[in-house]
Amino acid sequence: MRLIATLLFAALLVFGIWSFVDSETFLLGPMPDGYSWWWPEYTSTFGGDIDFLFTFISWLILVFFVGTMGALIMFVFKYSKKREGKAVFSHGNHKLEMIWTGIPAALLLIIAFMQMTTWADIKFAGATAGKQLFAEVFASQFDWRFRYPGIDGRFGTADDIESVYEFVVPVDEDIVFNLRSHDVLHSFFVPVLRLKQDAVPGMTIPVWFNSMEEGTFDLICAELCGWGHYKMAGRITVVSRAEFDQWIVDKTAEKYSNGQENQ
Amino acid sequence: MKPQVSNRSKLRTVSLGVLLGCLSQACGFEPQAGTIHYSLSDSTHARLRRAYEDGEVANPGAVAVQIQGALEMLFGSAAEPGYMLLDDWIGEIDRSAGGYEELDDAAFDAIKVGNARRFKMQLQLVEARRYAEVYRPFYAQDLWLEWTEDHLPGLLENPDAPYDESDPDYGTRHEEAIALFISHYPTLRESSDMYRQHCLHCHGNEGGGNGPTADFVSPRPRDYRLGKFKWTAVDRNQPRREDLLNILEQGAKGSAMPSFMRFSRGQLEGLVDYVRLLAIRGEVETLLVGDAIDGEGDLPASSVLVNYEFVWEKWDAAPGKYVAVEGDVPRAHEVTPEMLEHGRELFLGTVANCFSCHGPDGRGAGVSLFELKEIDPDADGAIVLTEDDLVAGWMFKDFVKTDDAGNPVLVDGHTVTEEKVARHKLDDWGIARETAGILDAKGFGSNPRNFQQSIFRGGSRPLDFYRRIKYGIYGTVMPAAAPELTDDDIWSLVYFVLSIAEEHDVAREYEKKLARFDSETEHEEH
Repeated sequence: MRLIATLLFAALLVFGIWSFVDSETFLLGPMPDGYSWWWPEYTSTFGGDIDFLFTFISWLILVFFVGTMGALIMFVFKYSKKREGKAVFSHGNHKLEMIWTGIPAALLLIIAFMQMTTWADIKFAGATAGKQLFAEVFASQFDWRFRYPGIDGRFGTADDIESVYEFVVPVDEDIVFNLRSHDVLHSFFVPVLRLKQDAVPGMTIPVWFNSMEEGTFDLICAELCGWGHYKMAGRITVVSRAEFDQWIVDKTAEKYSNGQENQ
Repeated sequence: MKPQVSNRSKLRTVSLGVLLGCLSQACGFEPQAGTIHYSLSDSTHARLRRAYEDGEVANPGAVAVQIQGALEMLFGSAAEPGYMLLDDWIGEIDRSAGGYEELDDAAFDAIKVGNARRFKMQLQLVEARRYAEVYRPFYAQDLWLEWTEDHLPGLLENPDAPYDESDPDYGTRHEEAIALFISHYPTLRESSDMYRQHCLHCHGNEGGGNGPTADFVSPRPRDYRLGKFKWTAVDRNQPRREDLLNILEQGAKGSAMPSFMRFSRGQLEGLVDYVRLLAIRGEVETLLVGDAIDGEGDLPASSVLVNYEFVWEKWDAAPGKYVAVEGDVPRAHEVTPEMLEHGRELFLGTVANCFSCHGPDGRGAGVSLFELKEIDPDADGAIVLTEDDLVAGWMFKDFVKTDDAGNPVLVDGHTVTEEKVARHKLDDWGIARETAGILDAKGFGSNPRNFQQSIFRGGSRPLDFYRRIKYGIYGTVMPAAAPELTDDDIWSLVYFVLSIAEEHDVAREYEKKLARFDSETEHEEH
């Protein structure tokens, strides 16, 4: 029993580290098309900052993980042996406890200061101030809808261009959009852009990103919103400015179609 | 002496063993779908029961069995749906597998592109020649059967050998394996599988809009069995394939029907096939019940085939009833204030008569939220309604009093005739108009559209509005436009309605908020 308990905790330590070291193919074997457990390459301007914080914290946690798990394994093994005699009553070690509270607290403060500017750059309302609103994104059960202003530049007017499922944006530009929800909580999550923002019903939340590369990226819902949450997906298509302008022209033609082309 | 193993410890070990045993069974567990059967609808049973009570039918149970058998002959079972082929179709069109033969090249290209994406994992494994590792995709049991039986054995043996020695049209086994995935069109069975996962919970097993979650959504899910669909591009007919595909791709914004564009084109076309099968089955069922009751419980085979053909003809007629606009659609930035004013006049007038259901402010309040109001006739005995009355609300139909000519008098000097008065009515699916103050048995009603919500389920392009106004909404109380209205009138109405939506759009709130913020900031700077 003692051996089983020790081995179980040791297995936890081994699996934990193995899953990070072999993050590409852990338990899956070689996957086609670069599918893996790990993050895809980021394409947004703040992706680097997010990744840096993630990596820094992961390494920090690794140190603590190995330390605490190692200690746990050692204690489980050493102290599960049956002994004779009276137990020792210990008053604890005040100095040790101060150290192992103080150091993590200091580290947390360090992390808090490190992430402040990144958070402010991405999330604060000031980050989007002065940037022109590009689109509005509506989350509903269970799809994503997008709305671009028409010629008049205002939203919610008769000349708006509407799109379902596909969000087309130009590359290398600051894209600011208002995120709304029709019904319940959703979350706008684009892994490749390292962007995640909850859509709260009743709120209009400005969100921004700037993709440095063209491509088609997954958009998924990251806040449980009902039975269809798992399939609530969309697509972000980043194209050149010229292609985007052409897309708007095509969508406008579709909007004002007189139906003759389907005759 | 060996220590005794305590009872508690034994219990713990046994429970752990049982738990692990159960968990191991859970791996690879797949619920079987084959046990679902089609049932007859509630209205069929109600009609048969009534016929029995009226003495027209001696044995309603036997009639039900006959109808069930006829429907199974025509449409297959829930586990194996399919169409019975009519003689006329043989050699002309094979509907047995779904809508495969009705699609054009553009649709097929789109399907192939969609399949390349849908089966990306399988295709990459095939192209890397790792045939044994190819795993089964979702909703593709027939594809999988074909793969494992017709393709895989040959591939494992020699992938570069010709697929079919006797037929030079086929390429190598490797090439055909790729073509299998790229060109796959879903069978009705595969589509029914997908329907069960994604659609049945609202739309029901027979497409009756009576699935387990139907009672919790408003508006209610569509009952296919009348063959009537609201958001189509045809004039009061069963829909075209493209209309059903459009709803699947766009969803019905503002209802519980989401967009399903995340699925591939092939999957969506397959779902269109299956929805059509359910709709036709429902329509045929309704007709067969009528014939069986007329035949005093006897349902001859000829009547079954006649009804089947009749319903199919209506569906085939859909492309011929397609609605398009002659000339160009006026663009939003070309709209003039005169056009909007004209639209407003038509909206509040009695030719188009929009306000009687949609309310003078477009809130969908129609007649029921209006209070009954007593208005004294003037000296001539005519009822003259003023602007105040219009705004405060009045029940149109309950005090239509006539003037000397026999017609009530309305504001603007228009006269109103009886037919123009809003009627209390159920729509074809039996869903009451809440404005009528009538709710159906489950407590549901449906309002005329509230334009101030700026949500338009059937699409908000000008062409979509044009279709609703000119041809009405099939199956609902929304009627086709009076013939006096010209296309220009309709465009004025369209943009007037859009202007109501624009005024109340949620974006206006945000603009006000920003304006407040800006003015506060300016204030602080002083």
